[in-house]
Amino acid sequence: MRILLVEDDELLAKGMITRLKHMGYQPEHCTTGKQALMAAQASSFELMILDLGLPDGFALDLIRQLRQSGVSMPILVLTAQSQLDTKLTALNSGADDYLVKPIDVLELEARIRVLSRRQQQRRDDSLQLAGISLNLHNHQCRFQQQDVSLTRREFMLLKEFMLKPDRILSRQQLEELSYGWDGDTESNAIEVHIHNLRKKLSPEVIKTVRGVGYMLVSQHAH
Amino acid sequence: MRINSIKFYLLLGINLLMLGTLSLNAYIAYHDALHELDEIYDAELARSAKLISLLLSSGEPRGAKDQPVVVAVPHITDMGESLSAQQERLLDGHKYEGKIAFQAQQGDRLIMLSENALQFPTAKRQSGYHEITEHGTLWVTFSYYVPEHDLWIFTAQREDIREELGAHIAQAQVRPILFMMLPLSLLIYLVIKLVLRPLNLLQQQVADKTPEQLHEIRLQLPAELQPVQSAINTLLQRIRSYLQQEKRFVADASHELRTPLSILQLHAQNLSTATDQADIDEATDAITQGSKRMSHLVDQLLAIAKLDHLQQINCSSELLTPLLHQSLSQLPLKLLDKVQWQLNLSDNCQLFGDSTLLQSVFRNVLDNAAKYSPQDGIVSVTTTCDKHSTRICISNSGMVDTEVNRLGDRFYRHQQHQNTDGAGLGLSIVKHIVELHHGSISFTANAQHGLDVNITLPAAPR
Repeated sequence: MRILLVEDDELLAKGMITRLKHMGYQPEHCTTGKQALMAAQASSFELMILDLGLPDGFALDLIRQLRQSGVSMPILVLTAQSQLDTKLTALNSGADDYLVKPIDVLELEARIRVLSRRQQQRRDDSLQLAGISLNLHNHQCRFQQQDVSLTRREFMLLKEFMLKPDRILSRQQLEELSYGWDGDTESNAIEVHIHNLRKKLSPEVIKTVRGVGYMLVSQHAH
Repeated sequence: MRINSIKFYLLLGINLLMLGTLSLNAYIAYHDALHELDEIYDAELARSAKLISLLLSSGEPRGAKDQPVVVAVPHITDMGESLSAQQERLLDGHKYEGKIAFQAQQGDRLIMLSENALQFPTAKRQSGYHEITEHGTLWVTFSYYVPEHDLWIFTAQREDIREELGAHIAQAQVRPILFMMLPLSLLIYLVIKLVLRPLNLLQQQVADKTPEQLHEIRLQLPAELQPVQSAINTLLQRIRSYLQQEKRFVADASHELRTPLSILQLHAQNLSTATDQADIDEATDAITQGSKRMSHLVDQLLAIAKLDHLQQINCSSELLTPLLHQSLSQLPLKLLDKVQWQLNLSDNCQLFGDSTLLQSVFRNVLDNAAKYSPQDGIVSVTTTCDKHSTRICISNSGMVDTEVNRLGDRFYRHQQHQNTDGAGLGLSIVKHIVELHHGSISFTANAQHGLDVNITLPAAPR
């Protein structure tokens, strides 16, 4: 799943994008509230990180509009203001959490995980399915009690499959997920990652649905 | 009721006035009474004297040749003792009769006197009224001479009796009003309390105001208090907008200060975990830029703080054109080349001010004009002047839909230029310096979608 980052400051956004990518997320970056609204309506995101001090002043209204149109993705607000009323206004408008700048990336990452956990109704950060155990915190992966080492993109793909087991994910969906909007994917990049995942885990774990996409089978025959 | 209150002063004032009026009234009444009494008694003295002279002239007195006749009169009582009318009107006369004493002398011989004239003072053998002091008592006497019989009639009356009577009349007049004082001042107190009630209400409303609750006061007030209420409301409105401005300032300031801090912290953390060269370069570059931004911001904040505490500026007469040329030459080359400059400068325009501060004003405005212009846009500088003031108009083109009112606010930056260098403090500094010079600065959007900055500065010392 991707994260929608709405931050007008170029330098700050750059640092956060680098960081989020390191953490195994695919951030999409918008600089204004209007852009963010269009992005959120066009595709789905795991979470939104929103800076309240946007140049177009369209941050609180963005939250309200998204909530009114039924978008339930968690919204983490970044604000430079530590006053209570700013925090309260943000939370009452529909934000799920807030962080006051300057932000600590470790705290930011932890809060992102907490919000997604709540959204996906999980009790902890470990996903267990089809003999695979994936820890979303330290990115550790074990298959049948054996440690498996994954690259960043492999981790992102596997996480997506494990969050949506037994559902077909299209190639386009997976590409967007691991490369973002403006990532230049080679035509067979996804196939390569799937191939590697199958090699590291087991060939049967991820099934190809011809012409449609891929699917993680939770109850496959051993 | 507190001592230092309108209620107290009103009550005290009215009571004192009432007392004063009463005292004056009593004093006048007493003197009037005394004067009237004097006249009546003086007339009576004269009439008595004439009556006695008539009596004595018509026949020989009944007494023996050597013995004067003594006429009995009622005893003199103090006026203070109140007697009933019946007690005053005696069967054989009136008790006040005793107030008049008389003597009649023929030649050197005393032929007749009243009983109370035994301690009569030595009479003056000179016609008319006299005042004689005898044994510490003042007497008013009347001497009357009948030349045909060589007869002197002296009538006399004690002065203190007149005064006592005068005081008695005055007291009788004042006493009822004096008794009315207490209930009257109580009534006045109640009226004052009632009249001042709206003031109390207003006071309560003002006292209840908190920074969060600065709504208008809307009370039904008497005409005198309505201007006060509207003045308070104007003040409240001003406080509200001031607080709002402060709040916006704090919000903008924290955004401008915390964002570069976030950049530094984030990229420093990224740097500590970066593995490839590209990530390291990105982080170091961002840290450099972030700290540059931070130091620029700190410089400007310090400049503002310095200006805030600046009371006096070193003013001198300066020529405008060289100042403008110097300011232009201090702009970064990149900006100088970016736009076309059109200078329409009047010759010999004078300025009276601090040249260093004024240069920073011009530099700042010119810098902004160029910065917020499109590439190869036109920035024009026009100066005009008269004896008293010098005007500088700097206009550019292409800064769309400016929120003209907020220009010059601390930390305000146009939303489409948020990523341009700067924190939005420059124009705020400019505004401050111009105000220190008792000049004015205004921003108006022009037809070229740009901005006209009009600066008016004094040309000569005020």
